[in-house]
Amino acid sequence: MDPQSLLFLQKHRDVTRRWFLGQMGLGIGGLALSSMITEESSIAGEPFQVLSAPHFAPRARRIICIHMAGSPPQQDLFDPKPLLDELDGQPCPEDLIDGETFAFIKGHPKILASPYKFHRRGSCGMEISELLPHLGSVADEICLIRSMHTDQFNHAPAQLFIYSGSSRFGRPSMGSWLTWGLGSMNEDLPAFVVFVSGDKTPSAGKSVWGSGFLPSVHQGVQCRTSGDPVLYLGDPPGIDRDTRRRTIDAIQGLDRIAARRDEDAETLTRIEQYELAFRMQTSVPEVMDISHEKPSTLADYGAEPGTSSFANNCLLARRLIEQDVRFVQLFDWGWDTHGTAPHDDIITQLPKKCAETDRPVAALIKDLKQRGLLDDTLVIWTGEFGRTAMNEERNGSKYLGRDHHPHCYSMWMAGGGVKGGHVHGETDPLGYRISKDPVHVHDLQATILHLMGIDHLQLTYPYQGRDFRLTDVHGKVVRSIIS
Amino acid sequence: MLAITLLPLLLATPIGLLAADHSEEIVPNFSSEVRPILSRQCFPCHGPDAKTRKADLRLDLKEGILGVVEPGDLVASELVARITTTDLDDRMPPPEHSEALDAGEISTLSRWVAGGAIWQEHWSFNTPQLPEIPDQNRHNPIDAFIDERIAAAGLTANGPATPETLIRRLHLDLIGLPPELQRVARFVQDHEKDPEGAWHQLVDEVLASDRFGERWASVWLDLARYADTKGYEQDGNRNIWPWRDWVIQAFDRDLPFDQFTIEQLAGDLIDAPQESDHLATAFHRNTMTNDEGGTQNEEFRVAAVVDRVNTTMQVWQGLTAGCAQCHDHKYDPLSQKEYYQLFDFFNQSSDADLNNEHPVLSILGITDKQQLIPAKQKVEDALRILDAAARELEIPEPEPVSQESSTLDVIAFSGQTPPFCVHLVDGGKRDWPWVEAPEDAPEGIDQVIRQVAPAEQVRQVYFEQSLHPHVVAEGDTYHIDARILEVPESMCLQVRLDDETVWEHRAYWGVTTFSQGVDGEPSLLRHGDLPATGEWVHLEVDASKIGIEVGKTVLGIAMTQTGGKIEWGGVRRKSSRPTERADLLTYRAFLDRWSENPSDLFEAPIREALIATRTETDEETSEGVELETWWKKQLSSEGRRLLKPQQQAYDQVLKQKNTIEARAVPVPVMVDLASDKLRSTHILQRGSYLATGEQVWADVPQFLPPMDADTARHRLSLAQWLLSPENPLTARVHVNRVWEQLFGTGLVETLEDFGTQGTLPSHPQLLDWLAVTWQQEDRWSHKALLRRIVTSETYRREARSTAEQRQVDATNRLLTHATRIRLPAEVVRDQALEIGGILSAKKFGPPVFPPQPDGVWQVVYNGAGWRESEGEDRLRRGLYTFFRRTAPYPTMLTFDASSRDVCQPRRIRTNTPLQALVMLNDPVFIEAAAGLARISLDHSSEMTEAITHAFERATCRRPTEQELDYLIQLSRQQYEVFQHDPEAARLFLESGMWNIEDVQQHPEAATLMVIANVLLNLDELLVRG
Repeated sequence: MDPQSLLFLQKHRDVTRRWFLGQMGLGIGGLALSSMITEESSIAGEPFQVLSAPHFAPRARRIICIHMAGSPPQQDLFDPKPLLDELDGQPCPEDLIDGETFAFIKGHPKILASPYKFHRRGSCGMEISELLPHLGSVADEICLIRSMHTDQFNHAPAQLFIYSGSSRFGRPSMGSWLTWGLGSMNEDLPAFVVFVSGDKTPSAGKSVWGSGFLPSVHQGVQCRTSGDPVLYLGDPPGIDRDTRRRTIDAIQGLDRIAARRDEDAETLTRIEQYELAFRMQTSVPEVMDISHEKPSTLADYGAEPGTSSFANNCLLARRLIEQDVRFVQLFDWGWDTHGTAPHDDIITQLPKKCAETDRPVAALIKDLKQRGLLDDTLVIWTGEFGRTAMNEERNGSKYLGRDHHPHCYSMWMAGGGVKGGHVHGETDPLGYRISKDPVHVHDLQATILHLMGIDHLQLTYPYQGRDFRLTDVHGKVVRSIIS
Repeated sequence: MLAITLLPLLLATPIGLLAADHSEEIVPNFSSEVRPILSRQCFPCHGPDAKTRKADLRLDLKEGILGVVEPGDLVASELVARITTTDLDDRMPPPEHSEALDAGEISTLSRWVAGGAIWQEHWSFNTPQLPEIPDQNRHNPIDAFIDERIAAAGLTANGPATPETLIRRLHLDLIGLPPELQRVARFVQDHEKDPEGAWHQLVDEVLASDRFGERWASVWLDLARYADTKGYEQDGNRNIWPWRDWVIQAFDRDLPFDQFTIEQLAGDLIDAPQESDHLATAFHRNTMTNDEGGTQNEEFRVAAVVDRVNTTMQVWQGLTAGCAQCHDHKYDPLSQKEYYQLFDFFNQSSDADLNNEHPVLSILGITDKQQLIPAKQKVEDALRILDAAARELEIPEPEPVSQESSTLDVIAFSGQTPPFCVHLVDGGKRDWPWVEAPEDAPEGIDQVIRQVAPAEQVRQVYFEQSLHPHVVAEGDTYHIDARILEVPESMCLQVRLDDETVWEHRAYWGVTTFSQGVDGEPSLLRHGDLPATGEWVHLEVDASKIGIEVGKTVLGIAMTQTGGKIEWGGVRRKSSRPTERADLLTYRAFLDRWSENPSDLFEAPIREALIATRTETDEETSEGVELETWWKKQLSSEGRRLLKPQQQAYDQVLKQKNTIEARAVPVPVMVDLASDKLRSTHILQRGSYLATGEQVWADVPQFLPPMDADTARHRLSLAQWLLSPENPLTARVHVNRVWEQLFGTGLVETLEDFGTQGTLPSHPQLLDWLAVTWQQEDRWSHKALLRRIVTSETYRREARSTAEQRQVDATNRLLTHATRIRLPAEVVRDQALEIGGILSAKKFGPPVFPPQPDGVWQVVYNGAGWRESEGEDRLRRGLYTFFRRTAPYPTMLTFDASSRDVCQPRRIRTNTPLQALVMLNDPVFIEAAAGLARISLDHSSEMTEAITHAFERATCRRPTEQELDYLIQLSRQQYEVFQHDPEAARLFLESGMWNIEDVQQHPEAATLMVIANVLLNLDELLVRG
């Protein structure tokens, strides 16, 4: 290609990007944004980022979001309620069931005390369950919110609600919003990576990391811990790296001839994407290989190279964060403790899940801190809703468990600009309703965006005639938890 | 007061702005320039939404806006004053809401006022009129509209693309598959002689292709949010693929769009609906169903109805009604009340988020339906032969029954299932599994039952309610012929009496494993060890020992085994008293016995015939003949024995027919509630199903043409209203959708929004011309519309653009040249498989499971696994791939396919490294590369020729010398690599499912496969040029 055409095409690529914005339905409103698109061609397939700079100085640049799918019981982990012990086994007060709809509870349920003791941990004296001894050791790092509430009490809608701001399908997920807005910081890795453990994907399926109406490049890339870490990353049998290099050279060579012939900027983009793909084939397996971690680190996390586990995923999250991946999302299945059998009760299953996850989560926080990453990495730990103060006793089950409960639940965050050793909000003596400082899911979303330097009111995407945002038409930043 | 204070400012600011604007003299168009500003900046507070409306001012209405402007007089126009003042208390929009309008916006509004403030309704809410064609001399009016704009812009349009490009473009656009190489050659030849004639011939041919419907169905499936699962957490499977096949067929046979619409929205409500009309209504049963435990069905039923309203408005009206679910629309004149009036149309269907997806229609797939016709014919033929044989059959008078006790009498079975009893196998109602007796079976046994039972499990053959029960006599014994093939734990004879003891009469051999009966008592009496394995044995049981008293009536017999494998030859009785069933050996005896009081076991027609046929003369009637024929076929042992060949032939074809019919699947469809059970519809506050407000009744929004006052409001009248000539949107929206498929961008770029927030059409007159012509001349024919567009010169232009074209019109909205379009996800797959010669030609049927990496499906509470299809089902077109909503086929998503959660009018095309990884490494594409290499090697074993052939097959054109050089060079390097490493060559061939036994030269074949892999990855392949 003669230098002049090449120059034209490269310039034209910016036009294409703008055109691409138009394609996405940004329409007239998008024009202002498109002028902010940076020259730098980003990251594993991100054609652009929408914000040239955050709205204000970010406290966090990256996020690790750990989702305990199924929803852990707050009464047994984070929100001690001595009154439950007193009333254990007695029919619950009428006003707990008046006008309430439950997923499974029928008739007049009985109060269920927590079988677990709480201890004051850290210099802050935060009360944390004996089931989470390791987390207790980092109590001074975490900001516990005991007053979360949501609108949804079924898994799929509630998970969608947290991650997309809507209980219905079709909206972009939080990670997609963030990478769309802020772009990526690493050229060789996807900006939004997802890990799943517990053998099941979350109830709402891939939509909880889907890109909705945002371009599909912004959807989370699920990294797998067996097989190819990213689908189709590995070359076919018989094709070594040299051969792959040669074939990509040939593809690019022929594409360059085509670019000269057709003068289509998209062809140049494709040439670049093949180069990125080639780089990802090396960079992703490298970052996913934990076998070179120090034995002491592996032991801290309880991680074992060559296996699939939540512990491995925590360690991988740190490795990706180290590489400046923007958003790492961990889903762990198995927390839906209804008490229909030992595999979903709070006597057998809950301690099992806690034992699996407590050590690696605490190790992750310590590890991030030690590496100086915790300051600007926000760690989020949550379920999709709370659980009832009453025993579910489905079909007269003799196993102990709790039903879905949207009115209050506990979650925590650490690092990235939140107060350490801080407890926000309170629930009533039965842990049934919030008594102080409620935080709605939309408020949490607004706060997370805020910590990332984004005004949740301003990160909008015009679609089907309306400006959409993660927080829908709600959301208030919870300033009192910001350090 | 206000005007006075503002005056100095007004004079100071806007005039200066206006002076700086070069377009000062031109009066802006209200629809295209003024309304978009008002809509964006003012409608949120002065628009359709009554709740947020301030000062009772509606700038979306003519009266409202003309109330705040004085045509031609800037100074007297409050609108101008308010947007230009620097007094923040008065400025609009208010500072707390947004920034002041920018200079360009102020200029546009001011010039519009100065120019006379001419108001127009939003363009798309007016019924389209047939516009005048700018240049009557053009063959195709499309070119006249397009070229007028090009000329006005001072540009020149491109000439036609090469014939090779054109044929590929047409094939990919219309049928989603590349042309065959021979067809390309023929077209190139024809094109040389008569370009226009050749093109028209090709267009006709491609439109008639039987792959056409599949391509356009995939567009429709996005709109219909089609998936093979129900969505939400459980995401269980759903059988709605017969509807998908209905759509394919509808496009194939060019069902006019009006009919297509009516059948899908209201096929159940038309006069005398056929099965296919009911099936079509599954369109709106593609909504999600929530099976998650503890969910409120009403909540998700309402969610499904909301989805139907939104989807209908989206697909047919290009409007985003969804906003009005919670509040009045902010931009378009759709109130929340009107939303729920639309909701009422869809609120009367009887589905209610039930796990069984009621109401459903049991329906056969298209292929099964086609197979059923000959299968039914065969059954009819076989029945005719059987009946003819039965009529002609003479059954000899039976030998008188011997009075001697030594007679062995068939009482349970021997070679035949006892007629007219409830005969059961394993509790099911299928017939006993008779097989031909082995040669060494005792004389007289020509059929046996070979029964296998898993260890510790019970299996039995038995009957009850015998039509010819026998009465027990003194000294009766039962005799069993059997052979053990694999040792069971026990074998057992059970006898059922007509008294209260019922089945409590058992004789067993081996170890008892029964939970019934008391061991050692007549109810469970051991009769010895198991007989020897492998040889025929004869077992005898004394009736009295197992508690069967003289005079009792035996109604049933069972042969039971626990574990093992046994051939049962028969059970007979030896009795001092002849069995009463002798009376059935003649037809006369049968009549005598049963005509007075026919058994309930006979079907109604036989019972009636029996009552009618009581005398000898009756037997001559046709009824009598029928009855006797039936008796010979069904009841007479001798008749059944003699008619066995014909009966078996009949049974076999009947079984085939039944097997086909059993494949019918329950498809969810729309069925309205009974008229006395209709739901009342209320406005739902904030869209919540629990917060019901004012009651409303079905009607259409006021800003659109009204529905006749005396027309009943139901889905059918709604569908008809959408298709009425006055409806301004339906035709425009669909024509625009088709245009986008063919040109990459719609005439209205926002396919999903024809409302005030959408983009304006690039060629409004062309859009209207197409919309009107399509309805009036083409009678809603989809193929006619396509023919009109693809026979234009505009469609056939070359893609390469000139610097001048790009400078003036970077996004090619003027269509001076063709736009290169990245292929849709399905076509990316289908094309590669077709080029590799491995694409299955099979159409229709249940969804398939092509290869997919392990671990993609991990669905909560849903054990469904991805069981890879076998044979050609691995290699079907992309639209047949099983679509799980929570875990769609990854390759499809990577290439921007819809996730099918909600209606998606437009796919956004991206260009990512993950796509490169799929094309390079997905085993499906490796298999396609192997296919292409194999075909090319078959074409020529000489490398250069093989590469050239592969290139042609992939791109439809010959490679240039430079391109060929590239590939030859790569092939040489690669050949050397594989020669030094034959194991690598072998592995690569095998990864493409290439049977290495068939390959003579591994390094050569593997090298060609690498070349093919390169070709399938070219930008040229992923794009239609």
